Amino acid sequence: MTELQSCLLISALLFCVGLAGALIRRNAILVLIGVELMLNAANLNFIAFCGSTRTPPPSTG
Amino acid sequence: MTFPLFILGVLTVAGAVAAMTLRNLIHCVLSLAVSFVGVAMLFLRLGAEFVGFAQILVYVGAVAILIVFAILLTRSGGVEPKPFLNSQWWIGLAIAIAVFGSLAVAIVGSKDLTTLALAEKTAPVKQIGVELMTKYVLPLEVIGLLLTAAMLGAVIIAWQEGDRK
Repeated sequence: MTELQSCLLISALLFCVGLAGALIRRNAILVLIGVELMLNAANLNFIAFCGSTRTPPPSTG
Repeated sequence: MTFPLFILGVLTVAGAVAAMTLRNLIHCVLSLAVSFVGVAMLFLRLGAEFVGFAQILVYVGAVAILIVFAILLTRSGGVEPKPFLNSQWWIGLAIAIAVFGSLAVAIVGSKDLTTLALAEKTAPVKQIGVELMTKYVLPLEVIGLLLTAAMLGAVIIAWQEGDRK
């Protein structure tokens, strides 16, 4: 698994935690916090993709 | 997955899970700030310096503190009453797990993603500033106008609510 894929996995996990929180909590402020987490996950995706290049570097890690 | 990325991911996701599961609202917001710090460090790790520092300034410094102020000013802090989940909480949980499952299958199984690699260095701050002030100056001004209109609308809505009482 490349580093880009692990970034995307972290972002997907963050999004789903936020989605679950926004769906199941009763308090309105906690729903807002869940939406904020989802927005952050989207930003993380943007940053992970923004500098992606076609050719893989010679040695990752 | 490399080791620093693993640590940052664990920090971020653990903060998010704590923010969504704790009972005390203040504790929730503080763990949200921890999660924001984790996201900011991920940004820095990915080479986006400007966005990382803006994340710390805006999210940790402003949004989290703003939510704390909102909780304290409306006196809704403290431990929530007992049913702190929806009555249909299992549906929401199932939806979230299904979304994560499909996303994870798509990410791990994609062949195109394995040919992409992270860039060593993305745009420096100076280049971002120059581009914002020359090429993208019109969208920047439009966003500024939109935010001003949204702020005026919020103030007007708050005024009318106060008058009604």
